[in-house]
Amino acid sequence: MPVLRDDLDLERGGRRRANRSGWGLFALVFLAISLLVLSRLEHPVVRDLRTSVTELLAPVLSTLARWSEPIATRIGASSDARRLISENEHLRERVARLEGWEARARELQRRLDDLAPMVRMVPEAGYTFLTMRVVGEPRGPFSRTALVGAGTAQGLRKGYAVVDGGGLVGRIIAVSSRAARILLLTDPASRVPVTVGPQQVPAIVQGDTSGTLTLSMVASLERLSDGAEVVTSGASGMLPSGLRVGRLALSGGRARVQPHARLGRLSYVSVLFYSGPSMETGEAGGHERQPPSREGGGPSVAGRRP
Amino acid sequence: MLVYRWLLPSATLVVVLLLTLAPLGWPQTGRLAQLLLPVIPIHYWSLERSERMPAGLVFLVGIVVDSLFGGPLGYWTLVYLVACVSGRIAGGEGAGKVWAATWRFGIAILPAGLLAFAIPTLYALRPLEAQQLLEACILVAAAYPVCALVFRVLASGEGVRSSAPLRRGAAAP
Repeated sequence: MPVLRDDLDLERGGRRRANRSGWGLFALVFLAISLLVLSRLEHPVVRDLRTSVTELLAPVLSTLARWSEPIATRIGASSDARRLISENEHLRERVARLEGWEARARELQRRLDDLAPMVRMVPEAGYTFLTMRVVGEPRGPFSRTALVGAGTAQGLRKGYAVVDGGGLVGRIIAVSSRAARILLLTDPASRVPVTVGPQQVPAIVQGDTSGTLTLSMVASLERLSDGAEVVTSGASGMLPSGLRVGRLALSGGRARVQPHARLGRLSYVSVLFYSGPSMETGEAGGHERQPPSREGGGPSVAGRRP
Repeated sequence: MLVYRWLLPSATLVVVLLLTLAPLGWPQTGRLAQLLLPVIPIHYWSLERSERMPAGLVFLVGIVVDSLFGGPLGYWTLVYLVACVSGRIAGGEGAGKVWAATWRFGIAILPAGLLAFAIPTLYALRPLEAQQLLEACILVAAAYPVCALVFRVLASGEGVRSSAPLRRGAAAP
């Protein structure tokens, strides 16, 4: 009986709390709307809160990614089986064709190595890479971003390019000590300067809300042919040139790009430790707004060299 | 027993949150459905035992999901809070039956889904492709009766029948 009385007291207390929490609920709704507005204004508080939560939950996400890997593999295997059969046949043909090209490429590389010293060409900066697990896959109707379980502690920096076995995945837009957020190519905010085909026609690859890539600011669309290879141009100074992005698909006067990277199913990615000229001068970060500096009021220019 | 009874709704929400965060490699529709999963325990417990589903926890779950999956902070928070409000408004007579709860969830998922569509549309000032979201809503609505049944069994496992509120002088359950 005492237990029942305790129950009743608790029930009654709970209902009183529930009445009070009615107002609390509406206050939280108001707070959520306020956060939405602050996010639209890209307020630093929102960014800090997001970074803190990501930082706090990075170990949990890593553990979940480890545990869920067998399930994800099974889900992936079942949906991939049919696609793989047809792709396998197609790849056999391509391998046979590319083997011929490989010999030709080796010959050209040898010639380039001989000729480069004669024209006193500035050598391109080399870069290393680090491979890591994707702990948060892209979801939701808003942004196409993914989280990786490595951060500044592993040497990652904002602006670094991210690739998988197929090609360019995106670039790092936010980094904390244990986690980093990658803006995928398919995000509507993503813009990557590229060149298309053997004519190296300059253009911009951008994502859209449907999750596909479109080609914009093309100098001359009529010079492009369907199936042409799209690679990074390195024009922004943020990404290295020559990274494979995708294959051109022309239909109805619209130019779309089929990405080589498996953006729909990322499990491991590699971050390229490439510090291009823009990153050296602190221009990396693209469209993501920098917090105003306390002294000057302008964007912070960390790492600028004298 | 008391602790179990009071913690059960929050515990189920946390478990579903972990399921939401796990990268399971679904296609895009499945991933959207995963993000909508917390709506199930939030709505069920708000409908059945609103006093045991703290709005603060709902808010916190929303902030976690918003923080980890990009998008503006407050988006999923608002969707989850709307599910909570819908559950509280719909709670009452006959709420204890699984079919009744499912029917009410079918109605509750409408404003939640509409909000999930409207916010990105207003944000980007162009209509979001609604097909995936619609499919995700249907998937979650289809999963609701099973989850509701599991929650009911979990709740009744400790002798608590959600349709029979405690009364002074009544026999202990």
